[in-house]
Amino acid sequence: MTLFDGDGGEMGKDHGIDADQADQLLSGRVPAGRDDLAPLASDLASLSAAYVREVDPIDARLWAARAVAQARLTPSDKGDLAATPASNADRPARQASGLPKRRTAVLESILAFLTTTAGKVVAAGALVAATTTGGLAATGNLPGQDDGPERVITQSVPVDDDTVDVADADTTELEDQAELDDQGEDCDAPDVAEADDDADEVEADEVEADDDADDQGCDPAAVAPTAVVTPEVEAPEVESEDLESDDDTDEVEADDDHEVEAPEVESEDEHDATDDHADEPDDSSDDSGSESESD
Amino acid sequence: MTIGLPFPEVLRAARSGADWAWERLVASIAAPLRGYVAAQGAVDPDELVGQVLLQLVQGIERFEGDEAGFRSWVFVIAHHRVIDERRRQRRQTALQARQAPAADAPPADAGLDASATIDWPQRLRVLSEDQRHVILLRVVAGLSAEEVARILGKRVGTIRVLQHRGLARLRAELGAGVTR
Repeated sequence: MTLFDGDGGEMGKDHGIDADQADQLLSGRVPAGRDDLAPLASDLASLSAAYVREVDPIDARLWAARAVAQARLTPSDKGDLAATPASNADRPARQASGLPKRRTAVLESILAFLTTTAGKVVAAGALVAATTTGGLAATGNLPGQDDGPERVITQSVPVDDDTVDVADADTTELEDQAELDDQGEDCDAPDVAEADDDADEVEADEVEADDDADDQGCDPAAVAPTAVVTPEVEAPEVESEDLESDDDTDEVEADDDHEVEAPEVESEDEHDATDDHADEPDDSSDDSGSESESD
Repeated sequence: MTIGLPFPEVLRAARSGADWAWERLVASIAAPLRGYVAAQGAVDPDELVGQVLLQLVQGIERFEGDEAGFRSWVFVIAHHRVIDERRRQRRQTALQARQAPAADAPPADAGLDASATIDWPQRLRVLSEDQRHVILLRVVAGLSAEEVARILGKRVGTIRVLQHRGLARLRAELGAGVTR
C-alpha cells in the first residue's frame, strides 16, 4: 500500500478543501464560508442517514443475548471453547473431532453390557461356541470341511452289509468287551461258526472256535481271534457304531453272505493258532481251543 | 448512543457475564456497526453484526482501554469481518463467472434506507477500496481520523490524504449527477 493509494493522477491538484473543512464535511456540516461545498456536505449527511438507522432496544438486547449464549456454548474459530482451563497439564486438550468420543461411547456401552448377567451369559455362550467350532475345525470334522456328500448320507442310512459284520466284531472287541460278556447271544464267534458250518470248508481252527463258542456261550476269549481279523474290511466306525447297539445283529450275521468273508479273514490273521491245532481232533479243541486263542 | 454509566463499571460487569452490561454495550454501537457493514456491501448485515458481537464477547477478557478504545476495537473486528465477507463473495463470484469481478464495489445495497435518493452503492464505486474504508468509517461509523488510523493500521496523515481524495472524487461525481 502506497502512501497515496496509487492515485497519483490527483497529485498536485488543489481541491480547495483543507483538513478542517474535510472534517466538517465528513461530519455532515458545511464549512464556514464554503457554500460551494454545501451539496457535498448534504450528500455525506444523506450517506450517513441512508445506512445508520436507530436500532430497536429489543433488537439490541436480542443481539447481546445471542452473542453471550453463543460464546458460552460454541467453540471459537480454533476449535477451543471460549472458557477453557488455563492449563491442560492434567490431561490433553479435547479433540474437536467427534469420532474418538463416539468410539469410546460404544466401547463403554459394550463393557457395561458385559458386566450384567445377561451379558455374561451371552459372552459364555459365544466362548463355548467359538471353542467348539475351533475344535471341530482343528480335527477336520466340520460339516463340509473334508467330508463329501457320500459320507454324510452313509452316516444317516442304516447299513446291513457284510462288512458291517466284521466291523461289528472288530469294534465290539476293541471298544466294549464287557458288553459282550453280558449280552452272550450277541457275540460274533458263534455266528461266524455257523457260517463256517454252512460253507463246508471249515478248517480245524475254525471248528475249535465254533465248539468253544457252543460250549461256553459267549466267551470273550473266543471272540478275540475273530475280532482281531479285519485288515481288508472297510469298516467306518460310524457304521459299526450304528450296529453296535442293534439287537438284530445275530440275524444279520447269520446270512449266507458271511460264508465268503469269514473264512478269509480268519485265514489271514489266525494262521498261527490254526497251524498249532490243525491236527487236533474236535474233542481236544473243546478244551484247549479257547485257551490257545486267547493267548 | 452513549453507555450512560462509567465505562469501567460496565466493562467489569460485562466480563462477569452481566446481561445488562452487554445490553448497554451493544446498544451503544449497534446502529453505526450495522450501518458500516451494510454500507460495505454485506449481503446479510444482521448476520455479520452477530458474528462481530460474538467475537466481541469471546475477546472481552483481553480488552484493555476506555470507551473510545472499545469503539475502535469493535470496528476493527467489523472491518476484518467485512474484508472476509468480501473475499468470500469474490471467490463465489469467481467460481460462478470464472472471471474476476469488475470492481471492489459493494455488490448489493442490503441495509440501505429505502427513502434514500442517492444510489450510494453506485456512488461509492468511484472510490478506491481504502478511500471507501476511510469515508465510511468517518461518515457512517462516526470515528475520528486517529481511530480510523488505528483500525486500518495506517498513519493519521495517510488517512487524511485518503479522505481528502475521496471527498474530491465524490464532489466530482456529485457534479456529474449520479442519482437514483
